[in-house]
Amino acid sequence: MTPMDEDLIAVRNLPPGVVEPSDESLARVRQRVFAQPAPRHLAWRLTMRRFWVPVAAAAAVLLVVGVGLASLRPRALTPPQPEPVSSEPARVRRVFDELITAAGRKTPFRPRAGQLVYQNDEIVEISPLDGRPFRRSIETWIEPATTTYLGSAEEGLTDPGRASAAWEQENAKDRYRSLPLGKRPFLKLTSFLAGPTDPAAARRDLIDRVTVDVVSEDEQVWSGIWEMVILDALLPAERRVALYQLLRDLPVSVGETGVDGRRLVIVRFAAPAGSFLGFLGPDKAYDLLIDPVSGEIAGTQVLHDGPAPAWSPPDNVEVQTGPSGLPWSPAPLPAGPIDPALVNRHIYNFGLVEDIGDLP
Amino acid sequence: MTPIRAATQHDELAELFDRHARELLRYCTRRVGPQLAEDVVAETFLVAHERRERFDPERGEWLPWLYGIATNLLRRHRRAELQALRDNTRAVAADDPAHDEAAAGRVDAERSVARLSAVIAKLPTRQRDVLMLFAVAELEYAEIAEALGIPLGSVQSALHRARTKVRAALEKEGAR
Repeated sequence: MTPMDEDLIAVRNLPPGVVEPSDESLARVRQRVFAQPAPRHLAWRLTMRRFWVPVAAAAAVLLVVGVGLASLRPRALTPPQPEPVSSEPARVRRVFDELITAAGRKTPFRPRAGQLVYQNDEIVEISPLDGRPFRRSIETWIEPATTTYLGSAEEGLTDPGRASAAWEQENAKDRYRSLPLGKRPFLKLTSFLAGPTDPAAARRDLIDRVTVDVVSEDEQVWSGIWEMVILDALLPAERRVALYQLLRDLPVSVGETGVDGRRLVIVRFAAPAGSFLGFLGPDKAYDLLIDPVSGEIAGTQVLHDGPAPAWSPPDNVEVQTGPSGLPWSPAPLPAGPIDPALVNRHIYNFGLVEDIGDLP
Repeated sequence: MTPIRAATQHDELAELFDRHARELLRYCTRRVGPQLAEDVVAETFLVAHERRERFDPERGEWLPWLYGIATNLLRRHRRAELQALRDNTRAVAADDPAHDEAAAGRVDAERSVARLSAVIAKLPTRQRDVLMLFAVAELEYAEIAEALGIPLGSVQSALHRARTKVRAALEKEGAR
């Protein structure tokens, strides 16, 4: 018997076949592996009898690995060091060259018929109860062909049978989702995600979609891109490249930050006037967070533009409830490197699943 | 831990990753698709790094051991794998009747895919693992035994049973 026997060939060639993984896919895996905390164990003894490589070849391999690691800048074994935001044109262009290159390698999700997109929104925000940062997680199941939100759960889906009720409750609170589909300029992301891939046409398309007279055309473009973060995983590569080219040409500044050991590029729009979902006032900074290795938009953050105002107890405290309808208190974050200017941060992760309540 | 020791561990893990990650990713993608494959492969290396003290170099190479870890992790995604196999069977049901020879040939090929996918979906987990490690990863019997932690005879038995069913499915299609 050999692997070339007819039956084995048939097994190997079953759809989807044996596909060579892309460099970008490998880079994503590499980042996740090297984003873990430094190991606690003693030295790793490579004493394999047949770990064999001749000395010269071993040195060559380590050299290539070192160059490869340097080019990927996997800072995750030590926490990524923040870099201040700067609008210096050469720096902005250099950063976006990296992002646009990564964008071209980023393959979108291709859901099969019947599959749903699972979205996990990891949120860090400031509690109105005590002024301290806390973390919460919202999971959403989305029908990809129409980008319809089918179900949502916060801190766990305790009763799958009540998923639709929880979703309706969330939609009732959210001023944006409560609008009928036909009146939402952005949530019809099917055509939006598949929009023009020529930068000039893409810019015109976004401006036409947003059409808010009181803000600049640049902010209308920014608004459109901000909206797409919630379904970033479906964004085609060519479209993503065009959108990053648009971002580069907006009045933006760039920097770096680390989130859970992951290096993210900050892209900050200058002086927004407030046309986009998530706008919380003119005295704040609004950032897209883009992963320079995978090319994806990892999330968004909002910061106080200047020293954070001193916290004071609110007059009326809204009791938050979970999907069960019972009062729910989010867990405070342990002490750690949270920017004191942070207002909120959303980090999105996606998967493809078969049904509401499924996890990838 | 000193920075030098931490750097050494980093380099050793990086070397292992550079040597074997692509192959593992190719295999896992074939079984559970690209998104889950990335999860599985990343976790494989993290688990391997955590358990490196358990690896006995006298018993063989790193790669089969890594495949063993990946196989255990793939079992968590059994549902996704089976769903993908079932999707292959549903695609044929939707086809229209063939109207010419070329189309008939295409339909026959699709039926063969559907039948084979159904057979593989129904295999016991161990038989499917052994079959895939042999046919897709192209491991040898001894390597599969090492990966799965089972006797060599069990590998041969499981592979024989799985291939019998696969051949029966292909022969049935050929007899049409």
